[in-house]
Amino acid sequence: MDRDDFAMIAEGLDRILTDAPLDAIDKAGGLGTEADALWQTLEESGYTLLCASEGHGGSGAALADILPLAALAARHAAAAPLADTILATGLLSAAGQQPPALRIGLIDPLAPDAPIAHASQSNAVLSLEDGRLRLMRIESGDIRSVHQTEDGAGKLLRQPADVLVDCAAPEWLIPDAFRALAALIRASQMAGAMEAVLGLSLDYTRDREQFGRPLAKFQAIQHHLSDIACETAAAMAAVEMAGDALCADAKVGPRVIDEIAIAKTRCGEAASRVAAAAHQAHGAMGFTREYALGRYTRRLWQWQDEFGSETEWAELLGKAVLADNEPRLWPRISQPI
Amino acid sequence: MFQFPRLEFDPSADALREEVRGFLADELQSDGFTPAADCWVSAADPEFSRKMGARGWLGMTWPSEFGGHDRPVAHRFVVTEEMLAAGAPVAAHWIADRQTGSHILRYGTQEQKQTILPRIAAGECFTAIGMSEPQAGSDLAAIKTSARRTDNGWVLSGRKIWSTGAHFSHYMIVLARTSPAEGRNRQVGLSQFLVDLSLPGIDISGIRDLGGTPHFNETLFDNVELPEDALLGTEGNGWAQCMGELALERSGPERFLTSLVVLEKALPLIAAYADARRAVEVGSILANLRVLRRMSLGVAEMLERGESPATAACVVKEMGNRLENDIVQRLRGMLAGIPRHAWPDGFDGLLREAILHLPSNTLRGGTTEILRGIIAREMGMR
Repeated sequence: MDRDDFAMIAEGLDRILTDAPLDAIDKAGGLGTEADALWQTLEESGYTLLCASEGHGGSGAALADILPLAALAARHAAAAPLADTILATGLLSAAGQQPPALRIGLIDPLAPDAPIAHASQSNAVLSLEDGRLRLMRIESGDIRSVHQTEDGAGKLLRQPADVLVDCAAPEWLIPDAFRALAALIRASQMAGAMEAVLGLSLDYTRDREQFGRPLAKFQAIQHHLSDIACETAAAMAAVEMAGDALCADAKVGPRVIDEIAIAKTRCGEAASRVAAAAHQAHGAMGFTREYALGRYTRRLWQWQDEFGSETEWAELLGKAVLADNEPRLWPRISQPI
Repeated sequence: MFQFPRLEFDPSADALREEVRGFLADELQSDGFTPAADCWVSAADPEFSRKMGARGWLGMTWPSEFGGHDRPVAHRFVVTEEMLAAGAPVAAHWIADRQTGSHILRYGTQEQKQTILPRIAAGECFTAIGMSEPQAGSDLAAIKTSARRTDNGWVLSGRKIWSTGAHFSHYMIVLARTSPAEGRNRQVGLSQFLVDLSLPGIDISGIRDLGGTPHFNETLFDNVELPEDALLGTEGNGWAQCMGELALERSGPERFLTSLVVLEKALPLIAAYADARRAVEVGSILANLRVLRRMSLGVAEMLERGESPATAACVVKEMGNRLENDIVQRLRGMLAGIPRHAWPDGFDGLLREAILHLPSNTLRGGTTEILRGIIAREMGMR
């Protein structure tokens, strides 16, 4: 697929998400007939199988290619396991399996007891254990929702009995690589959500007047907006850089994992700052369930912790530096991009 | 939003990087310099600058007819970032190579270019910035320095302040008022002059910084007679020219790499006391620096394409300056719990120097407050 194809695919997704009643779906926890209808549209338009091979009915896209789509869905705060499902079906296809048409959540192979994003919105979960990919159908009794989390996160109460696929994972797909790919998707989603937060904050502070003038006229508010913009720009650059590395090595070698560690660390740090500054600029309005800001900041706080927080990834990066024979940062900072 | 295009290094840039690293290793070995924090401001060594000029590492992107080397922006980026990472004594030529030369190339007359650029590229001509005044800092349009036309040139009067390196520089680009403001619009009527600092009537006095080093200056212009061709660019266009100059000043790697040399020096020690807390700090600094470098490269690429990435440059400087301070504070945190006698020789001096230079990061080239205002304005907030 070339650049034009992808522009079209992104436009199509943007249209679908713009037309869908996303706010209502979100408030219903990503469940219900409207959520089902949205998912059916996404499935029928081929979005869930973008990274599966053409032989498996997919589009054969590289994972790096779908990062902008993950960001786009996050800009809409779409409560649906789209990006996770694209990754899952891509991995199953790479393992030679025909991916079934399901909504698929991902189990973190390095933290299997962590809440699974989208668990309550999904009907299957994918795990990687002992070199095997397992796709398991989940029933409502298999999971317990984690109260008040976004994207229907939940914990498995028991090992699901219905194993749909149990196959050898591709050799390159070690647990670190699986987790890194999922982390990169979260980084991309965070960057997308930050863009939306920036837009909301600009609009709100231009409209809202206090002391007889728009909030945007106050220097203190302008500084919050500048911070949000800077952090968002950094998050986007970090995701692009990791995406470039993944483009050059789709099998997720150590260099790619390093770049993803950088992206997840930087986006995680940015998420905290962006959320704090945006809420400060919005005042009490942003703290309501009704107003849209929370749909984004709740996700930022959730995504920064999924598949390794910025602290975990930074520790991994730092450990490698400090374990070097002659520990130095500059050779790593100046590595070719 | 702010997009940062990707700047790619080709094999020739990689070869150049190896060459620069080899040069720096040789210089260090032969005791040519002691690595310094904030080296582009604090460590001036004209001899080192001449060596760089001889290797073709100054004025790299300028055309050869003016002593330049017709090389791509990526090559200049490689040389500058390697010098900063090593803490090399580059302060003598830094401003001339970074902004004055490029500025003259853009706005200067054929004669101005021919007179000055080859000497800058040779590492023999140094320059200073003449923007701020005692009563006009962040509010630059409030400057009082004026230039008045005479029959055979101009007469310049006023005071400039905070000019780094003016005491060893040959020229200063001075922003002066050449006609009155139009009501509240003070950005009109300003012009830039290329002033030969050896002219009579110029008095340069050093100002010691917080750490005691006289790196910046106050310069008095007492009815200095300037020749006709001292005008740089167009009369009355000084404000716009200044803003273009600031884009060159704000986005380079010196905005986030000046404290790195201190951290690098301490890393083997920190590695000997490695634990999770220290690893997290090192990893976070690595992530922040690598992303910021990517953005800075993006601004360099935009400059190469002839765009004016003024706002993107502000983003890089704003985040870079905050990071510089953060690096030093995190370094102090990592050192906590390590006995002093284990510190490497000379490290306490290096750390002290870095700490004492911290306040200037978020001031020079535009304060954090000014930069944030520019970024907000770009998004339509004023």
